[in-house]
Amino acid sequence: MSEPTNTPEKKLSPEDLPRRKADYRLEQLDDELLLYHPSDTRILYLNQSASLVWGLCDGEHQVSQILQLLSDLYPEAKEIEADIYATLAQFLEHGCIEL
Amino acid sequence: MIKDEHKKRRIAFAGSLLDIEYQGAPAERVMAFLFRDLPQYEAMPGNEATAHFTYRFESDRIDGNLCLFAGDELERSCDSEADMALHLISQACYQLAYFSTGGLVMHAALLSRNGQGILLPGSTGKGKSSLAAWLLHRGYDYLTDELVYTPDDHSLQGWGLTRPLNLKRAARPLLREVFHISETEPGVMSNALVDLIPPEKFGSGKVLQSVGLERIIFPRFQPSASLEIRKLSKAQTGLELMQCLINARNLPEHGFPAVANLARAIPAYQMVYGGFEQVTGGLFASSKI
Repeated sequence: MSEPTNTPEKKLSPEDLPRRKADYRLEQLDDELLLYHPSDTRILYLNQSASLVWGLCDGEHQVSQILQLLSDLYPEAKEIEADIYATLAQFLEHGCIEL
Repeated sequence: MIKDEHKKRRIAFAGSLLDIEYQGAPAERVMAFLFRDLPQYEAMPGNEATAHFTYRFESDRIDGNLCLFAGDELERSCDSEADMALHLISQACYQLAYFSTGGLVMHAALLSRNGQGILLPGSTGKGKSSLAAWLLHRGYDYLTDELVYTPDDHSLQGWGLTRPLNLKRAARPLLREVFHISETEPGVMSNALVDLIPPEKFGSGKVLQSVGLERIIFPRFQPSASLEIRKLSKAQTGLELMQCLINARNLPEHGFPAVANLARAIPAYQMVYGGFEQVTGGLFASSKI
């Protein structure tokens, strides 16, 4: 299991349990998602892989487990770990998950 | 109390009602120029609703100025019919969007060919009016270059707030060289910044009030760019449409579910172009449109 890289995603550790915050309105459009919170007019667009990460932010999957699951799903993706950390960092920045 | 000599025009759009009481020949000219392509509002007998907002437009004053009042407050005073026309149409769009209900109001142009509507969303300054002028020139029918309403009834109909096209000063070379329109010719109102031009100056297409939406195109003009067309996913379309939505505060959940439904129903593309000759092909070359 790789350690987080020296990027803004560094604050995430493999043992963290990300959990979606309540009250987020979600619209699924094919394999992608749009996230919206009533108190914040910003919209977050999630592509297919980010949608899967969102689904696993249930407070029961550690970051390391999310990495493993998606690595198994996308074995050919070379940057999958960096992408997942970046996605989680984006969720944290938008305040839509908590650790 | 309306003076005997005041006339009144009621404008209905997107669930909003705007009254403009006006007086004097210059005001009559401005009102006829701006709103002649909008249908006259006909109230149901015995059901005359109250307007959400009322302007009073006076133009027979001793000082010769044209004055626009919101209630008793003087909002604008000027000596130019073109300046007042520009101000009034901008404010009318604002008020109609502000009080709108029952559907999405977006910054967008809306054109039609063979009864099929092309929605061109984009914020102010993105070149919607210039592109609308070009499509009119190519025989498209016109609904609006600025404000589109899609009611929340799953009909996928688009309604345009029909107004003269509003082209910025930077588009003047285009007016002269491509459309052969002079800013000084009769029927055009111009000031230092903008030319307001009736749609018939560009082409012989019809002026329509509503049309079924068949396609969404997000235009991006970049000088010297090659034509690039990218089909957007439904989620990308929803994201882009939300940025063009201007009455979110009036809608359930800020219009988010309604925008998502629209994005699901209508195919959308992003189009980068560097010149109008490119636009003749591409998405506009389909036999369906």
